[in-house]
Amino acid sequence: MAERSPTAAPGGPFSAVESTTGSEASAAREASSISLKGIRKEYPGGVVALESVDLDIRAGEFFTLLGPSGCGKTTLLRMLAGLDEPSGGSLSIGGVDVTDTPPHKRSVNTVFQSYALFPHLSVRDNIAFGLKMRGMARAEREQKVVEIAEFIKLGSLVDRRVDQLSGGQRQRIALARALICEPDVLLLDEPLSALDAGLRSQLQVELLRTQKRLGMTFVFVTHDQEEAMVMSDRIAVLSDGIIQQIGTPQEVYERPANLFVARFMGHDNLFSISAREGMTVQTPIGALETEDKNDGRVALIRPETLELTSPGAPSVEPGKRLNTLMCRVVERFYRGSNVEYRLSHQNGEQHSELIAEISNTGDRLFRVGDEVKVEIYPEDVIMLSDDEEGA
Amino acid sequence: MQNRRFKKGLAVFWWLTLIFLYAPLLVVMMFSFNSINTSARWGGFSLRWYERLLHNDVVIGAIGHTLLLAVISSIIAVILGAMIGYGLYRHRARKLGLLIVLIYLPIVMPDIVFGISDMAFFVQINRLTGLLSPGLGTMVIAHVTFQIPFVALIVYSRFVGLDATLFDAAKDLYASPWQRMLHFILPTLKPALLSAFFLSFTLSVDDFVISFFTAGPESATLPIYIWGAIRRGISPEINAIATLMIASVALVAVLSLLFNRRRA
Repeated sequence: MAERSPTAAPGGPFSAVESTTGSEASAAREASSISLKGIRKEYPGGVVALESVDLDIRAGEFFTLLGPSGCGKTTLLRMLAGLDEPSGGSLSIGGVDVTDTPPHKRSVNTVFQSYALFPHLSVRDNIAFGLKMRGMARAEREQKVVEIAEFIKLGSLVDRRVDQLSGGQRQRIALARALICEPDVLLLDEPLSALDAGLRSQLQVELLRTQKRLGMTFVFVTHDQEEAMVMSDRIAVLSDGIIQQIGTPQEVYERPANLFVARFMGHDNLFSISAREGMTVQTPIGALETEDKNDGRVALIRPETLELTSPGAPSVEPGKRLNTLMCRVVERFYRGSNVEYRLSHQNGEQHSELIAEISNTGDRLFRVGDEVKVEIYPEDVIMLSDDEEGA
Repeated sequence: MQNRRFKKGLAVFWWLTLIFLYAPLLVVMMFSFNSINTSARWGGFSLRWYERLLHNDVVIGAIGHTLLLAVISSIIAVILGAMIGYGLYRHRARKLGLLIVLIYLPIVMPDIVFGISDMAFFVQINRLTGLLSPGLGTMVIAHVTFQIPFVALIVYSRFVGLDATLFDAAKDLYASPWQRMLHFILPTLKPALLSAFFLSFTLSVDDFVISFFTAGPESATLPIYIWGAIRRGISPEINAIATLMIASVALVAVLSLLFNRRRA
């Protein structure tokens, strides 16, 4: 088995696996959709982990559950796996109701955060565990292990012992162990959070490519909004057991549904609105023109939408009415491809801070202490509902 | 300077401890090979006491009882204790304070209390029902009761040292409850179970007090035989029996240690 080259995998050997077993089992696998209706989870003692979650995950989608720890995202994932039982509501996978189906009878596999490789088994037996439990014959199992090892480029890892593997290697074995079962849905519970940054972004790309190649429905759990944006077709942002927003990474980042989502996606330029008159809102940094017709309590201005020029310079778009304010550079963080400025703004008694992210085009950079003119397009002033306490 | 002197002192302490621990055993072992019938003088190497043991039917019977009792009680204790250990682990989230105390209690209870209570208890049952007359049966029950806590704690600590998501992983990978037992729980526990078995075995072989109170006329174990024989004075034959016991217990203890260490 070791003589097979681990890199000879351009044709997708794992897809070849499907066609060999497909003749006996089902035909080529269809990706499965997931539908949750009114899913609730309440623990004894009255702690509510999930509050009536409705969610539709499309077939073949890379779907991410994003939120801080304790938001209910892992509980939701465990319910999809069958490891936690909902207190109410129904759950179907591929159109079949599985609300009461125990985990070992669901065609769903999980990559756990701790990887959960069995210490008493070799890597090879770990990968084949699911197939063995399903009663597949040894010869066929071994053939499949060889194929999945090529597909995920495990190379000689299959011949090692579990305790000889690094974190990244364990993660890939855990992925192989789940994928080899060809589940309807693959669940991933923060599978990359224990890895260092470099390896992490490498595995993000690998994971994404694997998902696209298989066309399998992936449900991914993470607390890292950047990771969520890189990987996902769609994201559900959770907080306190409630889905705050579902959308593409772009929608969630650029049009957060509320203050919580905005904060969680890393937005800092948030200004409470004291009054609104037509399309003008009063904020601590002064009156701002907006094109957002929604009523909101907080105005969001994404840092990369700010235009910075020298005080005397002409407007960046002279024909248009832009919001203009004068600020002073307090701090500058040079990041290579972009530059982040921390700006202070004085509006009478009101002192505010703004963050601007300017892509580095090679122009002259402002220095700490410089006075700058900040221009903001009205369409970039976004209204947020303030449904979070203490905002 | 002071540090070195301190280390030297520690070394002396260490050797003194070892001497007090093992010198008596070595003396017994040495005199079991003595060719003359005294422990006062060395008369040359001989295996005659071992030979005599082989022809002593009472001793052979006692060895048989000891081993039979140890094996049967250890097997039962491992099965029951493992179930308790698993239960403790499964329900560790609940408040198990009292239960833990109840499991620890037999470990710290003086053997003599245990032995007398067992005897009184069995006698009462025997008087009322005619069952449980003193013999191997009552001894097995008594031994199992003091072996169980050790097994339960070994198994429990093995589970606690385990990644809890492994249980989820087994379910997630299509293992039914029976398959989880067969392909995950038992193989994972194997080193702990073997280790618990050997520990129970040595506890049983070592035990005199509880055996003494629960034994019947036909079920004397080696320690009981030795106790009886010793009233007629220490003979080299006793030394030979003791040496055999030391050797077998040491062997089993080492095995237990090895299995516990190899918890892959």
